[in-house]
Amino acid sequence: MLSIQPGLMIYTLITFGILLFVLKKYAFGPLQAVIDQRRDAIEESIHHAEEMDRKAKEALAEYRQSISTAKMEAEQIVERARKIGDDQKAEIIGEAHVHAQKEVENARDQIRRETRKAVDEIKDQVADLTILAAGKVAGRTITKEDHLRLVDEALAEVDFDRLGAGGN
Amino acid sequence: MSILNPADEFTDALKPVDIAGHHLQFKLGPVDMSINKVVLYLFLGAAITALVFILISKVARVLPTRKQAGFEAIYEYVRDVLVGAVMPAEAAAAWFPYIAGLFFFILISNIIGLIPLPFNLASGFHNIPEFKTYAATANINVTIALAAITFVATHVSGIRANGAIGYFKGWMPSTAPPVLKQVLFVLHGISELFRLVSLSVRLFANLVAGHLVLLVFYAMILMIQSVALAILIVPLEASVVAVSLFEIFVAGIQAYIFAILSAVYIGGAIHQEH
Repeated sequence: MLSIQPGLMIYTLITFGILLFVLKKYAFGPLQAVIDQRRDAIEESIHHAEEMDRKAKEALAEYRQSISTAKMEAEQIVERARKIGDDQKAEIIGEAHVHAQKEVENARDQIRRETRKAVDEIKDQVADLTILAAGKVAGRTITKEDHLRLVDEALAEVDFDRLGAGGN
Repeated sequence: MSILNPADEFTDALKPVDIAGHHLQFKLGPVDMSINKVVLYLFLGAAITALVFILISKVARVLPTRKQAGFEAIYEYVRDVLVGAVMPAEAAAAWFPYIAGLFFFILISNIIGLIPLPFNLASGFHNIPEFKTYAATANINVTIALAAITFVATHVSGIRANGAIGYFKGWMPSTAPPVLKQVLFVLHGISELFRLVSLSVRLFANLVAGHLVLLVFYAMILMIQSVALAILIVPLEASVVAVSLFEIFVAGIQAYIFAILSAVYIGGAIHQEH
């Protein structure tokens, strides 16, 4: 069982040597190549995924930036519109004030004119009536001079301001 | 009956075999180069190892199947744990084919040794071949030759990495007193030789012991002639099954030990500790 046989040792060395050569050339090499290829593919996939992730993050940042810019622009537009609206409002109000003021002035002018006209008419009628009344009371004809003097005296007692206020 | 002496199995294995009427006995000068059962088992072990790996490497795809993934797990375990963990990185890459080749060759040879095969064509009863178990690694010449490769590889790689003087200087601890250095050198030399012996004898002895235990159980079963003792056959056969299962474990562990010790020896010679 323990006999030393160099022939067997030589067979072992040759057999193992050939096996090692075959394994190295036809088995371990191709197998390792497949494993390396897989490792490379996985690495590439990871790099690709990282690249995609980076791009997605960039796109998201860009999108957020666009949203932020759009929001800012929208706010500016609204602000500008509000300002324009306010300006227009102020302008319209101003114009309305001026117009109203003008209308009031016109109305006042007209009132003043109408009042004066009315007073003049009243003045004439009062004069006529006064002449008539005075003539009847005095039993005589009043001259034109008397007449005018009496009218003026009567008119002096009339309160025109109250007449004007009543006309308004 | 030769089967009654289990040790005969090992001596018979050294006899030249007859294949197709040819008695395969050769001599190369004084060296007997006959083809015997050991040589056939060597060829068979090497052929199966090569075929298994070539087949796997041929069908290997980048997207692995479950079987391929399982095999690759063993391959990567050998590469990263058996070799990568005990050798410097550069040496691991260079020596991986050798260590892996050793591991898988010894493993497959050990396992083939557990399968009964009809190699005893001439000795069969009425020319019916006898199915018997034998392992190439259960022969001391085979294990010595394998251990010798590791032995030579250890010292050659040690000298290559450190230079002859540096390598042999590494056999003596630099912290040792000068008077002891020579003694330590001799002791280290002896330990190196015993590594060769222990590496070869460990594998051979474990395989022989396992086969002997199994053969003893077979012999005991065949020796039972009386009906009264027939009741013993069941526990004996159960023992054969148990020992066979244990031998599968031994086949793996011995291949692992041989390969990892080879890696440790070669790695230690390249990266010497002072």
